[in-house]
Order: sequence, then C-alpha cells, then structure tokens
Amino acid sequence: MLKERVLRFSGSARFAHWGHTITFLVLLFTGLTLFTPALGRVLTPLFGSHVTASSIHKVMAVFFTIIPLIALVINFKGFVEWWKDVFSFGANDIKFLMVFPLEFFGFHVEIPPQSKFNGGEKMNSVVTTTSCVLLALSGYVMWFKDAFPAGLVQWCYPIHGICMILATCMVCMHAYLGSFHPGSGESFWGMWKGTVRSDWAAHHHAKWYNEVTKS
Amino acid sequence: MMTKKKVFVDTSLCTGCKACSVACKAWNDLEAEKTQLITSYQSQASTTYNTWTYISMHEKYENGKMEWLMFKHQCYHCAEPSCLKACPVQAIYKTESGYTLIDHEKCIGCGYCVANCPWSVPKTNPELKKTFKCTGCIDRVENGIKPACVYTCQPGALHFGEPAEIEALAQTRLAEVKKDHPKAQLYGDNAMGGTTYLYLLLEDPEFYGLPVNPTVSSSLVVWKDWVQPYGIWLIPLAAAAAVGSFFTTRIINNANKSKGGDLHA
Amino acid sequence: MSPSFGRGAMTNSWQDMMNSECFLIAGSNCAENHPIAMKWVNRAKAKGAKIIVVDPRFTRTAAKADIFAQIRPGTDIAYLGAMINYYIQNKLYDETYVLNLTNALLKVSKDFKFEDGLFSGFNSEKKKYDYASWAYQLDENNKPVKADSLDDPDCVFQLLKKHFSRYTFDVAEKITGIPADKIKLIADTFAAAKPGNIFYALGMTQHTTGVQGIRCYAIIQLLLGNVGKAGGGIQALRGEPNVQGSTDMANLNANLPGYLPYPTNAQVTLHDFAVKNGSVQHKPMVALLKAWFGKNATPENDYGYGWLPKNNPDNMPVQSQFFNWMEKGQFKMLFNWGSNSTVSIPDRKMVARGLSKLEMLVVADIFNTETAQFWREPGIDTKSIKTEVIFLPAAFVYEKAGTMTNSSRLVQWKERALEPLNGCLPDLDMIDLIFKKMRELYAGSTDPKDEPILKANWDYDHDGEASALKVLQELNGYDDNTGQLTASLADYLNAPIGTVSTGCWIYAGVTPPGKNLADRRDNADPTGLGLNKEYAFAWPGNIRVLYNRASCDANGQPIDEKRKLIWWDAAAGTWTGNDGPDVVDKKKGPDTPEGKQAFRMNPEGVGRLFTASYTSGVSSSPVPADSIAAVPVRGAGMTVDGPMPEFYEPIESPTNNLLHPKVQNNPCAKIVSTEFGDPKDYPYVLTTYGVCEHFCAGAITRNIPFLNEVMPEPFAEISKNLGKKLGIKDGDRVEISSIRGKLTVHALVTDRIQTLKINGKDTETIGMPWSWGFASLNPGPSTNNVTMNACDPGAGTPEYKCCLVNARRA
Repeated sequence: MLKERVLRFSGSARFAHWGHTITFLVLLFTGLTLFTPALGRVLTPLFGSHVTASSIHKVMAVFFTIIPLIALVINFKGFVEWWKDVFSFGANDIKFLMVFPLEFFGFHVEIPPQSKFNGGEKMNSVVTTTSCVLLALSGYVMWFKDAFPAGLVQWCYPIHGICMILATCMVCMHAYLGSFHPGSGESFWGMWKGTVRSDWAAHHHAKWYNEVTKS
Repeated sequence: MMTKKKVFVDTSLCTGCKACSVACKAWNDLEAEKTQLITSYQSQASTTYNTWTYISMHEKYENGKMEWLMFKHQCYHCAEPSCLKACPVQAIYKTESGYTLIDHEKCIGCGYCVANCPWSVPKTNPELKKTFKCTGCIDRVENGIKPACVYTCQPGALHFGEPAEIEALAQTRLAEVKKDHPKAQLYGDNAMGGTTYLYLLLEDPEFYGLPVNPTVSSSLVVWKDWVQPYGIWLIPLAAAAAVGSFFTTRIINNANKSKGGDLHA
Repeated sequence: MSPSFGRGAMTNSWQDMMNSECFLIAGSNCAENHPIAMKWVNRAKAKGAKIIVVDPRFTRTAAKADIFAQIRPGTDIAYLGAMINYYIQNKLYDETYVLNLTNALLKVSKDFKFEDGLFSGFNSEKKKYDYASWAYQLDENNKPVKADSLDDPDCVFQLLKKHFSRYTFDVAEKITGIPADKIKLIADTFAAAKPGNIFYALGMTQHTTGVQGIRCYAIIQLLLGNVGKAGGGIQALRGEPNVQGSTDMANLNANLPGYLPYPTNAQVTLHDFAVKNGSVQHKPMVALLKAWFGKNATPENDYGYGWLPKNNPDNMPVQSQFFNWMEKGQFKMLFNWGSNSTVSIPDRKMVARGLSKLEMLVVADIFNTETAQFWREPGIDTKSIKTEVIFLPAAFVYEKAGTMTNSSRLVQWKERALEPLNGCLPDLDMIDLIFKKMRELYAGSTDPKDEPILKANWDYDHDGEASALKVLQELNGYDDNTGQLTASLADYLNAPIGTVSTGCWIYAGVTPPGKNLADRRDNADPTGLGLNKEYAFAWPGNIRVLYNRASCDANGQPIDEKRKLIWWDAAAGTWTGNDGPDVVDKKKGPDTPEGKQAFRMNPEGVGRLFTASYTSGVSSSPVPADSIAAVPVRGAGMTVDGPMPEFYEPIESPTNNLLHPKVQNNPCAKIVSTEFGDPKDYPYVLTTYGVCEHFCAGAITRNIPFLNEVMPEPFAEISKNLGKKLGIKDGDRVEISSIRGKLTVHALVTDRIQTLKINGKDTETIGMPWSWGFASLNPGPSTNNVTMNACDPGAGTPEYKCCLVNARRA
C-alpha cells in the first residue's frame, strides 16, 4: 500500500509541461534583454547580440505555441478534464487559497479535500494559461505589426510585459512548490515520472484519489 | 550649440510637387523605391526607411466645389517623443537643438518606436536591422543651411526659423486663410510636448488621416511608467517568497519535529 | 503676342507676379509645370490677390484658385469672347488707355468683312487669307485715319464690338460647358482687381486656334489697360528653361535671330529684303551678316546676303510636318538635338515612318532616347530600315558653360560645374568640330554653293575648346571702328548701318567690354517690385517690364503710386525710373509723338486690338536702286487666320460649331494627320498634358529613379460618371483608343474631372499625361499614339490638347 503509485500525468501532459517550461525560460531571458536597458546590458551578452536574442526569441515563440497545440491534439480528453477540474472552482478551493499562505510558509493548517488539482494549482493553471495565451497572441501581433491596427499593436507591448511578469511569478512559485516545498515535493515526481505515491495522493488530493481508485 | 528651430508647413501653399521628397532623398542618399500610383497623384503610401518625407493628397468634392489638399509627412521631432520612450536600448535621443535622432550604433531595429509613434514615422530596414527616419537634416542646420525639403520648396510652403518668428507667421497665415477655409487650424504645436513642426491645415486633422490629439498613448504609459519600473519587482518578490518559504517551512518543521508533531509529506 | 504688342515675349517677369491683384491662369498649370511661378503667385495671394483658373481638369494649380471653371478643351475663345463682349457692352474697359494706347480709334478699310465664320480675303484653295482688306483707311502720309470717337462705325473699336456681340454668356456656356454666371463672375473679378495678370502655356498654344486664343488675352488686357504695368501683362510660361533663348535664336523657320523675317526666294537682294520688310529690319540684317561672315561681309557683296539660303513660303513645313515629308523622301539626313520626337509628336507613328526613310539620323542627347533607337520599338520591322543612326553622347546642363534665357527674357550665364564624363561633349563643341571638319572637306572648292561655308566667320576657340562666352559676345556684337564689343543696345542703335555686327540684335549690350552682364547675381530689390535690375540681363536693354511707358499718364508720370516703373524727368529732359524705360527715344518727352508710344515695335506705336495689315513709312515707287532710305519703315506682325479672334471647334470635336455650322474648324489650320475620328465612334474628348514630376518627353526624367518613384506611370483621369458608365474603378486599367492608335494605362477615377453639359448634351473629358515612351529606366505607353496632328496656321503648334477617343475597361 505504501509503495503503490497512481498515474497522475499522462505522457502528453508531461511533454507539454516540460516543453513549455524550456521554451518559456528561453523566451523569458531572450525577451528580458529588451525589457529594460539595465537587464539588456546584463543579459544581451549571453546571446551575443540583440539580433541573435531576438531571433532565438522568435524561434522559441513558435515552439512555445506549437507544443501545447500538439499536446492538445494528442490528448484532447486529458485537456478537457484538466480544464473541467480547473474551472470547477468550489468552496474547498476558496478555503484552500485562504489558508495556503500559512501552509506555504510551513504552518500546519487543516486543508479541505482537494480534487486532482488543488486550489493553488487551479489558480496557477488559470493565470499561467491565460498569460501564455496572451503572451503568444500579443507577441504575434507585435511580430507582424503591419497587419494589425496601430492601437492594438501599442497595447500589446504592456500586455506582453504584464503577462510575462505574472507568468514568471507563477513560474517562481510553481517551480518552488513543485520541487523544494516540503509539503508538495511528491508532485514533482508526478510531472517527472507521471505517477505519485498513493498515500500522497490520498492525503493531498483526496477527492481525485477517491475517484481514481473507485474507477 | 544651436538653439531650437521650428519648421512651418503651410499646406495652403503646398502644390504637391513632391520636390521635398526628392530633395530629401538626394541629400540623405536614400534609395528610390519602386512604386505605383495609389490614389490621386500620390505614389508614396507612407514613410519608409528610404522615404523620410512624402506628400499625401486628399480630394474632396462637396456642393460643386473641389478641394485637393496636400499634406507633408515626416518626423515631427517631438519634445516628448513616444519613440524615445518606447526604445528599449536608449538609441533614441534629443539634441539640444530639439531634434529627435536615432543612434544607429545602438539601434537594434526592434521596431518598438515604429509601433508607438502616433504618426508611424520611423521604419525599420529588415536587412540592416536598423530603424530610420527624418533627421531634420541636422547635418545641414547645424552648419547654417536650411533642411533640404525647406530649401527646395518653390511655392514657399515650408519655412524654417526661430520658434517665435515661425509661430507669429503661422498665426498670421491662419488669420488670412480662415477667411476662405473656416475649418483652418494649426496642428502639431500642442502635441507630444510641442513638436518642431507646426502645420497650417485647411481641414480637420481627420481629413488628412491624422490623429486629432497626438499624445503619448496610455498603453505606452502603462508599459513604461508602471509595468516596467514597478511591475517587474513582482518577480523578485515571488522568488523571495519562495526562498523565504524554503527556510520557514524547514524551521517550522524542525520545531514541530522536536515537539513530536506530524510530518507533512 | 507679337501681332498685338510688337514682341513675341512674356511681358513681365516671374518676380513681378507678386505685384498682381488678380490672376487669370488659363492654359497653364503653373503649379505643376512652372513651380517657380507659384512662389510669386503665392506671395501675391497672401496680399489678397485673387486666382482664377480655367482648365479642362482640376489641376494642382486649380487647387490654389479662388475661382475654378472646368472648360471643354479647345473652346477658350468662346468664353474669352464673352468676356470681351461684356467689357465692351458694360464699358468696363479703361477708356483712357484704350483711346491713347491702342488702335481702337483707327479706321479700318470698308472692304473688311466677316461673314459666316470667314473674314474677307479667304482663298479656299490655298486655305490662306489675303490681308489686303484687313487694312486701315490711310491718309496721304500713309498714316491710319483716326476716328473722332469710339462710336465711329469704321473704327477698330466698333468692329470689335460688332464682332464679339455674338459672344453672349449663354452662347459661351453652351460651347464651353462653363455656367454663364461663372463666366460673368470671372469677368467681373478680373476687371475689378487691377493690375490683372494672365498666364498661359501650352494649354493655350496647342490648339488649331492657339494664336487667336492668345489674341483674346491681348485684347482683354488692352481693354482693361493691364499691359505695360507692374503686376499686369500676359505671361507666356515657356515649356523649357531655354525656349525663349532658342526662339530668340530663331528656332522657327520664318525667323532669323532677333526675330528678323527670314528672307524668301522673292527677296534676291538686301534691298528687296528691306523693301518688303521695312527699313527697321535692314540694319539688324546687315549686323547679322557681319557677325556671320565677318570681314567677308562687305557693302560691295551686299554683306554676303546672297550666301543666305532663301525660304520658299509655299514650301515650309513646321516640325510636326517634317516626318510626312521625310517619308516622301524630301529629307536625306536629320540632326536631332534635344528633341525626342518619337515620343513628343502627335499621331506619333508617322515619326518612325519618316525616320525609316532617312539615309542618316544623328541624335545628340544625354540619354539613349526613344528617337535615337526608334527602330527598336516593339512592332517595328527593323530589317526593312536602312537608316544609319549615329548617337553623339552630349554633356549634361551642369557640364557646360553658357546662357539660358528664361520666359522673362532674362539671359542667365552659368559656368560649368562638372567636367563631362566619358568623352561626352557640350553641343557647342560638337557643332564646332563638325563645322570645322566640313570646312576642311570643302577647302579649295570654287563651287558658289560652298561659299557660305568657306566664307563664314567661325572662331570660337578658347583653350582648346569652343567657348560659349565667345558665342555670347558674337551675339552682343562688335563695333567695326574700335574692334571693341558693343557697350549697349543704344550704342548699337545709334551706330551707322554697316559699322556694327551682332548675332542677335536684341542681345546687344549683354557683354559690354570686359563684362558679362548675364553673369550678374546681385538680387537686390530696392523698390520691392521684383525688378532686380542687377541680376543677369534681360533683353532688350535690360528692361524688365515690357511696354512700361503704358504705366505712365499723358504727362509721363506713374499712374500707380505703389508700382512705379518709369517716369519722365522733365528737369533732366529724359525718361528714367526703376526699370529701363521702354520708349522710342529716352530724350523724347511725353509731349512728342514718339514719347506717347507705348508699343514702339508696332508700326502704329499702339497696342493692336485689331491686327490690321499695315506698314509704316512711305514707300516711293519705284524705289531708287541706290537708296535704302525711301523704303517703308516697319511692317506689322500679322495673325494669319484673322485680324480678330473667332471661335472654331477643334479639328476633332464632339459637337457642331454653334456660331457658324458651315465653318466648323479654323479654315487655315494645317492638317497633318490623315485619319479623323467620328464622335459616334469616339465620343470622349481627350486632353493631354505634362505632370510636375516629368519633363516634356521624359528623356531625362524617366531616367532619374527619384522622379520615377514620385510619378511611376502614365494614367488616364476620368470622371466618376464615366467610371460608373464604363465599369472602371479607381486604379483599374483602362484602354484609350482613337482612330489613330491606342494604349492601356492606370485609371484615376476622380471628382477633379466632371461631366460637362455641352449644347445640351453630356460630354466627358479624359485627361492623360504624355511623357512616356518605350525606352528609359521606366518605360510606359505613349499618349501620342492617339493624339491628332493638325497645327495652328500661325505658330505651327499641333493640337495636342483635344482629340476624340473611346475608352473601355482593360
């Protein structure tokens, strides 16, 4: 019972997650070269020049868009389930979010039973996906600015910036929670191997665990 | 150092001969482009990296009266330029004489200035990856010669001089022209902190396809005055929270462990 | 203008335009084709001057107008006639001016008649008029009889009144398409604001009624008293920077330099020439012969008069007729300098046909023009052409020194700025080398026909090349006694016949000893009238406003206090002023007959409302063979198609002549084309023109990338009504065809051309620029495929401005 593992993330979900992680990070650092002159001075030499940084940014942007689309095509059902769960934001999720900051810093709190994704993960999913979609859309508008109205192009600059900041914040938290946070360390293996320990799943995602084991 | 000068574009006198565009290309060594007629006698649709000034033509027929109005486009050399604000590499700068210039050593051709100019003046050469626009013929004016476009204008539609003189001239001409063109107005002076170009228009700015109140766009303010200087700090804040949590969780856990509490895993 | 005022030149100057109160710009698109004019027009406008533009389409000049009227091409005389009629009927003319400075009071022969569209004396076989009945009633001293008042039925004024009484505003509206009230508005505006100025260019001259249209302008300006005044006059805006100069140098085949009549084959001796043309032409002819033949021109050999080839008046083609003559084998060789006939001649297919029949064609140009490679045009059977073509690469304008004489008779010297590239030569050097080689080949010949070449005075060498300054000095002339350059026009005029030479007498004084007045660049303007007397040199005698005696009253004092040109200084006993006085004799005051003359180049000394046939002075008959003195003094310039303007329809017209259906067209017009379209098949009126961005036939400008960028292609402007009818949208391709040819171009569907109501019928105008050809960096179809070749009988200018075409979506 203790060693038993349950499948948490399918191959395509993991492919999408890690593909997106890599492209996001490359995009982040190549993009930051143009965010402020100070960042530009520090980061640009890493890529040689602005021109290379911008070329890499554009190539990565394409992968950044393609990867989730591929995953979507391969595992449409999984995506639907993910979204169903994410958007079934209930009382438990709210309670989770209210007590999570204490949990985050290590205080012991009572957490109501969570579905496959807890309230924090749901929030991460919503914010990150929205940001990524907006980043991609605004990015393409800026890339092909001649094809769009000037006002829209102009707004894409702050939107791209805001989404970058939100997504990066989420990445910071998410990466930490998914790896070094003592409470959710197992979730890293969920995304790495695809499976998690049954007891961990029962403890952290009771609703989901019950559903999975029932079926 | 040269003092600030101004250019008055009296569109009521412009005959649309396009000599300004040709003189600009000749002086600045810009290549001619392959064109077609677009509408009226106009063949240049916008500024390009090789076309720093051009004339647009606007026809209007109302109550049996024909109007054929001309408008000269070029960089306005704003006092508070959007392009300068948008530039991520500080390649755009103002001279003491009031000109807005691009330092091509620094310019990376990112096009942020292109997107944020209210008149879409600067344009990027995709091969050179550099952005170009009117320099106000600074190489001429700092040596005491009028800009090439002003120098070549035969009908006297372009005037170059001290701001006070130019403004007085513009007011005089406005009063004269108002008699026949009630919609006549000055344009450019109050935009973007005051531009170097002052226009006498015979119709509303919209008629010429111009922004009525060119300002630094709110998107640029959000981006450059809020997101960039303040918003960015959210990232280190989030990172710091994670680092903080790394320690506090472990300290609290250790404390709990010593109390014999339940280990969370 | 020459038959009206005495000189065939723009009366005022470019800068003087700023003195005007009103402009009638009709037949000129100066904003596009003379951009410099707008500098001065704009200054006048800023001071409140009104601008009236009459044109077949709304041009960039019209865009600056206070009043714009769209006219059917070729009908100007109808509305101008209505203006004249209105001024006379309503006594809006300047009576003092008309009485004293025009021939209004002079009585015309009772034989003169005008019936059914024809003046008396028409020879229908030769299509020419005999001028005998267009004469004055003369007294015993050969002077015209002067009527007591303008009411005398024989006087010019009454003839004018009667002639133009048919031209009502309503008739003019039916012919021109301009609403009657707008014509009245134009007439009122122009009469109210004086001085009024009239501009014309090729829009007025390129008609079979071109000269008579300009005669209307002259009559209007004489009636209103606008000639000879600052801000007034008639400005002939020349098509090229040196057209005035080339005309001064006799580019018309009936002239010699300085507007001397060209001797005809009936004038065998110098004496015959003087008898025919008046003693005023005797001295400049002798001076010219002395310039051309130098020491070989002596009184004994009639100054070499016999060496001049003589014209046969019955056999004198104008340029656009050359090609038909070539085709018939009349010419063996053509030197083609600075002309691109393959593009520029109307009904242009005749050009290639003509050039193909030559033995040799020499083209000197800076670019390989369409004419230089006419045999390369697509569709031409190159194999059948035997013409040997030689191309001489010419130096560009900045690569050679010399003068250019602009529209306001301003002779301007320029130095060479750059050395010519790759062996290109200035035209002068080419001609110099060719002539010297020819002389070498003729050396030792005793054949009398070779004498002109062997006896010619030809010495322009300076530092191993031909010197343009030496040519200019030859034009200025030398005094035989001193061997020095003539110092002034007065010195030339005062010198006895045969003691001075001049290659062009009106240029006398341009290079006095040690100076080159054409090279002056002092643009000081102390009077603020734009006279700029120290800037270059205006012929004649540096006078800036011609006929400026007319700006003074009977006492010789300026009428207009703000615009003082000249005045009689009674204390000093001389004419003086801000401008050079245009008077017969500076010492003859306003109380003398000479001092009253404002138009001293006319035999009557006054402006001619009616271009009567008249030669002043008494001819003693038979003329004593040893005397020149007794021949007539001065002949009048004539308008060959009538002493008063009459409206005729263009050769190709969509309607009938409303005034006299039996005489539809100018009866004297020179018809060159052989095919003419019927309005049923070709219902639309085409008018052609140049654009600001290209120059004439485009030989230079179509090879300049910047200019190709700003005007990339030819186009056809059509009204929105016609666009709708033919299913053509702005930017579509449209095929324009006439009975003579066709071409396909970009369509501009615009409000700038409106449908006109002509004699109750909707009439469409199509406008097309003509500056493209099959060669150059930016080739395009030539509009002269479709135009028609028929010429004004006086000037020989073809009717480019109107022909009939059809149009369809391509």
